[in-house]
Amino acid sequence: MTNPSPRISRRDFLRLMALGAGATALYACTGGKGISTESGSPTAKITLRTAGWPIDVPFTGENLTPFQRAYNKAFQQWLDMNPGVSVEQIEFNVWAADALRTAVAGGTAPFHYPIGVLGSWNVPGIQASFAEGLFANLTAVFEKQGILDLLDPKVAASTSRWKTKDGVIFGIPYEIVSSEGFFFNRAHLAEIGLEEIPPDWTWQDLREIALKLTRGDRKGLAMAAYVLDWILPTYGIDFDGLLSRYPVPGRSFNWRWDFTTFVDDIVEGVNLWRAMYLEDQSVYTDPNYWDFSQNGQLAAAFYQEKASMTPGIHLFFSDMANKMGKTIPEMDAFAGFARQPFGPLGYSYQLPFSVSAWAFNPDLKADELEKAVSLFAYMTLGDGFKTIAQEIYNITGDPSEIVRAIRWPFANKYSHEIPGVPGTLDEATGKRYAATINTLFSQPKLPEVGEYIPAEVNRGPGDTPWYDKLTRWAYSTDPFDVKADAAELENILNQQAKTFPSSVDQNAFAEGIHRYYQDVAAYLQAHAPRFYEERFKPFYDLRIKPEFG
Amino acid sequence: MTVSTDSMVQTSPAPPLADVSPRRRWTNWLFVLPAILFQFFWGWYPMVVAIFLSLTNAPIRGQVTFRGFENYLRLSADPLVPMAFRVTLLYGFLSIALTFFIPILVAILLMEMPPKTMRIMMILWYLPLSGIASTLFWQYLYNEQFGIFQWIATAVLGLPRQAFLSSERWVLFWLIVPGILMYGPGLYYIAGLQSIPKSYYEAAEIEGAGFWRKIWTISLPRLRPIISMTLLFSIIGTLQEFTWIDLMTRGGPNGASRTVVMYMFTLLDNGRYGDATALAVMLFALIMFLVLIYRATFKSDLDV
Repeated sequence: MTNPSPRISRRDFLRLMALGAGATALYACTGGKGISTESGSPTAKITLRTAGWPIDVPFTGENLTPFQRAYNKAFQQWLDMNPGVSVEQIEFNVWAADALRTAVAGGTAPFHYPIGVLGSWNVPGIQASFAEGLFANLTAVFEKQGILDLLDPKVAASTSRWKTKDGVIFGIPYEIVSSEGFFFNRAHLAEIGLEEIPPDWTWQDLREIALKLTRGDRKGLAMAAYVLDWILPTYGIDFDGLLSRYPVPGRSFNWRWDFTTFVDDIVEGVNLWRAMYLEDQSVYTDPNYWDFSQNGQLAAAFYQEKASMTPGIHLFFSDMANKMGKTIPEMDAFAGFARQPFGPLGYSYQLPFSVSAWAFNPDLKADELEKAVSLFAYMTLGDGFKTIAQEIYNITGDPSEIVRAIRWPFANKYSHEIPGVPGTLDEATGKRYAATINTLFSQPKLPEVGEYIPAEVNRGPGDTPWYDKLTRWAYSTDPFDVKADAAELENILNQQAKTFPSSVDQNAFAEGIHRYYQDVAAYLQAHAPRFYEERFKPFYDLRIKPEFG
Repeated sequence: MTVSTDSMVQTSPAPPLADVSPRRRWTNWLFVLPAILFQFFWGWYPMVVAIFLSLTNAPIRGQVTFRGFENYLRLSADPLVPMAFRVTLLYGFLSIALTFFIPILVAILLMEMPPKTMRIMMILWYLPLSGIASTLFWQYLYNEQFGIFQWIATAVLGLPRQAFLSSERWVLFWLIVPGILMYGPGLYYIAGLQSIPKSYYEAAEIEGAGFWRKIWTISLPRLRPIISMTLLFSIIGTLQEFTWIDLMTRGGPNGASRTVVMYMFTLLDNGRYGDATALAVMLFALIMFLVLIYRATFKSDLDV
């Protein structure tokens, strides 16, 4: 005889249901709060919800880092000046686009989030996201709090990622970011007789240097397929490349693609990449390496000295030092940074830098928005930032610890000097690295089309077909024909473009486009004359002149 | 001698609905209410909203504008859509063909082993592994420069350098291979096989049935309900594949491994919410169509 299995009576079941409902209600009443902090006032009227960096609630624990202790001090100063405000920490990943999108749609987003996440990290996407209502309008509060005065003049002048062309402000600049380039191992470079990478180097130079650096198991360069997406744009070819995309106002979506006119340049660029990968064997790579960060496999190969160069942006420098357990001076001795190489005709699509801004939750009420912007600006740009830097120095006695904790240069006015901290930040950062970055950031700026034309709400075709071809051209071992692929790519994108309506005023678009290409022409004549004569002028005569004069 | 299963089937028919007292009827409803509510909020409601949104501009915020079939027309003109459906169907077919039947055979063979060996083999075969950890592991195995498979192919077997995930022709095959080796639902088959009374096999042996005969006439027919269920789940699951492929290849090379759900995710990333929803509805329609065909074709009733 077997024991009867335990049975649940109807009454038991109902009791269980009631218990479950009670527990759920109880949890709901607590609001599922995480850590929160508030000012001295017992009646906090405004609660700001943050998902963490760069605005954390004060750090707790016994072994706080100098930065954490300094941050806590500055944060408390702001709270003391703003009674009635509490800041609550929530568990949320603002870097996950799908989660952030859902949170903004549902009104549960934190008070601030990086502007590029919803804007696909490019100017048209960011401007479109604001047009879609995903970011709060900050114009009034920006002016009221005098935030412009807190910014580095370079940052204040570079507005495409936080301001519309009509002057509406939707983001607060937070960081100044270099374009992509390569970190290189100084000792390895010295082995081949070079102290620095030449600032005007070309992709062919990179190939030769990578080959020389390849020794034994060590590869000259770690790279992923996205590096091919750095090579081709220096020929003017990209998803939104200067020569491969052209405006056609009044025909549904305002852009069309042309990958066939200069297809020989695509062939040349692809051959260069594949020669490094397949012939020279000077590249550490794999089709599933896509990570562009200081934490991925490519960076790891660089740390372990399995590769002498790795892709990156200047912001990685401090994080790499932390990752490798090096001080900033040690990091400066270990690695240098070089901008991307130029194309064979002297063209580079790279901006000297771009501005990383943070957006604010559009559901914030006016008083909440004011406090949110105030807190953000205080801690990242204003007196709070200054306090943090000073306090780090007071604790450590070493100015380079400031750079180790906060990525340099800053978007505020303290990149060169901080009151109360001896010496300059350039010296603290490492003279060689600082010199490279300062030179890079002072380069002339290629005009950005997003600064000339109105934001398009219908974003049009995505870059998926372009990346399809890149992955094939970069890695495929099956036979393929670049010219046929280019024609197919052009056809796919143009076929897609026809199905999108345009939301912009056609006159404003045409006027903006006219000015944009005039400015581009002037820039190229001054800085890339060969490219202007041999590529841009024929393109202009073919695609722009007939439509826009 | 013949063996009939009829005598072993015990049925206890439910009383007709009219005979159920009102109080009991209410209680019955109360018992199923949580499931109904769950299904409503997480199944039916989102489905209806998705169908509605696919006919609009589906903005994240602001005014929802009715667009009729504009999203569907745009997708029908997009060359990447049929490509994604082709990849999805091919992946689904290959995945089921390569990963579905081997575990059945493995389960049957495991049952033939001595109990101790069987337990060890079950642990090895059905080890519950973290999906992400497995993916990282397989990424390493497939690495073209430093992976073990490349080493085996070139250094051990003397073959030319293999492309693995870089080959547009073979990428789907290589993505499916791990599924052959680690197929969790195989445990269902073991459970099903263990529930078959030993007397069936003993009777068959007395009748002179051999190993394959027993599999064909006893094991497989008794497993049919489980096979039917897991096959259905496999069809639905493989046609919605996303995470594994996205982590391994991101849909490359040249879109050769981009499934419909991956393209849907890309559209969402591009802010094309209406288009993404319309694509979701199209995939739903395809899956429903295949499931209906399946249900009409295969019966899970043992005695059919």
